[in-house]
Amino acid sequence: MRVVRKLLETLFALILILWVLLPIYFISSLSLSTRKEVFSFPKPFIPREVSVDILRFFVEAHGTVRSLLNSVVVAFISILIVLVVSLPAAYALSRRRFRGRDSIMLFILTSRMLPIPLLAIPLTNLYIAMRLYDSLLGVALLHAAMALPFAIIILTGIFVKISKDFEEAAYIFGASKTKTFLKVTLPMALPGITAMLIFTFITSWNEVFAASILTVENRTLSAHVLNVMQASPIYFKYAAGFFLSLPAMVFIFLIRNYLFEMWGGLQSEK
Amino acid sequence: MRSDEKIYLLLAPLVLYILFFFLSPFGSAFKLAFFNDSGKFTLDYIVKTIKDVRFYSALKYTVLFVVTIIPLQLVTAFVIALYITRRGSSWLMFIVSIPLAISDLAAGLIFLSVFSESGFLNSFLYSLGLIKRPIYFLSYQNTWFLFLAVVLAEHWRATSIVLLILVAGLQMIEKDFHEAARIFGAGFIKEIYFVTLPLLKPSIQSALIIRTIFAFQMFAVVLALAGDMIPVLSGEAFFWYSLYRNPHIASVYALIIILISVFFTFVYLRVMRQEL
Amino acid sequence: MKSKSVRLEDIEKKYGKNTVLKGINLEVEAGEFLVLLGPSGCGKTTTLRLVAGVERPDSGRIFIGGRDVTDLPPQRRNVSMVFQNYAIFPHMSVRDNIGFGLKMRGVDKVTIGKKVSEVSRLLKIENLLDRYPSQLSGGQRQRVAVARALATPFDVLLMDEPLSNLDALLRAEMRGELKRLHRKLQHTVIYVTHDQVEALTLGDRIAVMFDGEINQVGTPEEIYEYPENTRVAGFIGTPPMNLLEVEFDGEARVDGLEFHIPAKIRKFLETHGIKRFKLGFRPEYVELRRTGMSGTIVLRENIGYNEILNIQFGNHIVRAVTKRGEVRDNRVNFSVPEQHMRIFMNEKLVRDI
Repeated sequence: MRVVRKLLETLFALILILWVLLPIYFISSLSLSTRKEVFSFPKPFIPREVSVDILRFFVEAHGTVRSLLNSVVVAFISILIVLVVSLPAAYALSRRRFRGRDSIMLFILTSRMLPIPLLAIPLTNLYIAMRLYDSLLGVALLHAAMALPFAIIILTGIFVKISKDFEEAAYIFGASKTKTFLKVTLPMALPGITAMLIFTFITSWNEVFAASILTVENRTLSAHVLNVMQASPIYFKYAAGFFLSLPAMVFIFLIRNYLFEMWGGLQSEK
Repeated sequence: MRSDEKIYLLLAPLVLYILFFFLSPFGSAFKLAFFNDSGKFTLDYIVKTIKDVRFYSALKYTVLFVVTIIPLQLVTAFVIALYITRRGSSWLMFIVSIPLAISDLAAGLIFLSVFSESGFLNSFLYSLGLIKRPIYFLSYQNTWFLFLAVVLAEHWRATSIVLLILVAGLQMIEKDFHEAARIFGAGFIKEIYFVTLPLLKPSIQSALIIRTIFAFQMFAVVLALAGDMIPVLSGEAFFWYSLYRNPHIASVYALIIILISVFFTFVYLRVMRQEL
Repeated sequence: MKSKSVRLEDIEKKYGKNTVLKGINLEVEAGEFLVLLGPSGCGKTTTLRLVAGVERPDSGRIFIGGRDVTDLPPQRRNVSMVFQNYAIFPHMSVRDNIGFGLKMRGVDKVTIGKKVSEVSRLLKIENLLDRYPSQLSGGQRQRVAVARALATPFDVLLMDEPLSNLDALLRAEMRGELKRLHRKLQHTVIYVTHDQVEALTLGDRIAVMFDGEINQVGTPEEIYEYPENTRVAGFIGTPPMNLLEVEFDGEARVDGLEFHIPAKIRKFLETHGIKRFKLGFRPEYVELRRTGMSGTIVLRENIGYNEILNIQFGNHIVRAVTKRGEVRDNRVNFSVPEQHMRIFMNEKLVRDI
């Protein structure tokens, strides 16, 4: 009985792993082959050769490098905005129970529930008026807005965990409030803040609707791929799929320990 | 009182930022949907949207996607979450959460490698001797398969979010409850029905609402796998804005998306409360 | 209600490299109230969880009423339990919580209703039945947990430090209540606690555990009067037994000072050629008179009606309990009645002197 159960459990885990990893393996093996190989049939499970032919084609295609750089710039501007706006707010939310705290938290949470089309489409008129249309800053501003609610939840959770005792000890030993925040609280919160910033990066890197709507020339990589893929050969699509998911997968690896904290924090707020 | 003022000062940038980016578009969307370019009230855009043939199929497919994908994800995620929490396997959790980082666009493109003409599904069927030549899975003649392909891709990508919420929820349920259920005579199935599921209800509710709201915005994954062969609401909004350059009708679609999301959320909350 | 015996045979349990139970053998008779007593980390809770079936032993067998249940899951063992943190389900009303075990056994609603009201009357919580756990105080939750455990049919009732989360006053009250319930219902109970007052008042017998081993099983009187070894002697009683290291060369000496021992013990030591041993006696039995050995009171601990005198004798502190204010002078003479002296050889009690 126990042996059968153990066997079934192992089988279940195996199926789970295959389900998640096989598609990633498929896209990787196709992206790392040649343009000719892509059309061969039937495809062997283990690729006949490994080549950067397709990836090179993708990178050298018109618009790829530029939009890649745009993606990075947009992501970093978003990170900067999120950092400046969320740090003081999350600190305030974590340290004091004050009137309206819960309503503010609820307001932040529900704001994220608004669909992106509803945000992006009307924003274009405003952006044209503010000369932000088709600008990287414009896209970054919206991406930051999209990342802010989760950033606040993660950060508040982190600050709550850092006991007030440490700060009070610092005051007693003569540190000022600013100094305490910079020398005591911030260093302890740093790993969590890094995770939050990586999360912001992924949000921005992955976002495609708003980035397409708000730009014409200055597309991010996702937006660029979305707009040219219908007219592109299939190997372009494979390479794009591979290229778009790669950094995301690396980053999720880096913040794996924070995944639960993010959602745990979300739950306890509700 | 003074330190309270300080707190509001720290919070002000956040609140203003969110108000600006989330609430002001809301107002503008209404303006775009109900007023023409010269500022006169009109129902023309609504009428035009409703009269469009693609509107109905977009509505139909979007709702179909939501009611297929989300129950599927909930069940899958719950089974996996039970397994992971009982076994305490963190590396498995990590592997299963990889798709969390992948965008819907990328997920669509990844599943292209499975379903394309010379893709791995065809190769697999061929090597088993089930087919003689590759099948065109992703063609307009196979709408039901296009639908299925999108469902599988979206199920693959977004189940991890549900899983994360449910695992976090399961971990908050004290081990004592599990043991008490067993000691007082509940087996595996009875424990899940009478103890685990009711205790997990807040998490299930969060997962359901979050997923539904995002699923109504589904768009890039459909575009990547089915092009414009399967219309969805977000896709129509996108096309009306960027292809036909009509922000008015695009806004009508945006409003329909939020309306339908709110409606579903409301229904969930009602149904879940009645169960209690 | 029928009640069954429990037998543990050579139970071993490891967590990784850490052996928490080193061969537990224990017999609990049908209808007996057995207390597992020991400091935290001694393995008493693990033992209870093994009987419940929520953990499995690495080796050894467990029998309930003669039936080998070692490989059975908890739901098929017919046990009931009161948890330390109560574990009453937050999503069920008190009524549903109490009836849970019956519902799981497929008992019909009418019977469940009868049983629930019967048990809730017993625990005086009839007025709480429609409330939810979040609306209850700690003491009320405790009662619900006990009610749920009693409503479920069982062969053995397990209690895991059920009173440890209550404040002192409530704890004393519930202790009395549990005693009354057991007298009335005569169930087999295994009760885990680190509190010796609970153990001594509640237990028909007590099993004292240290480091994954049972050191002594006996009635409260036996455990108190004849502790099996110095560890049990040093654990039971507030303050615990005085233990003095004695050298014997025809006279008993503690740090060079003569200690009066009766002829019977002297004879025993001489015939067995014993040179060193530990002498134990309870502080309550120390007699303070004009005669006897002399020492100096270095500390008085006020415990209300009584006080504990700490008497310096050689390098040892001898503790004696007296009525407060009875001894004024700090120079005292003390003696120990013969029948209250215990001899420990190699830390083990010498029984037949």
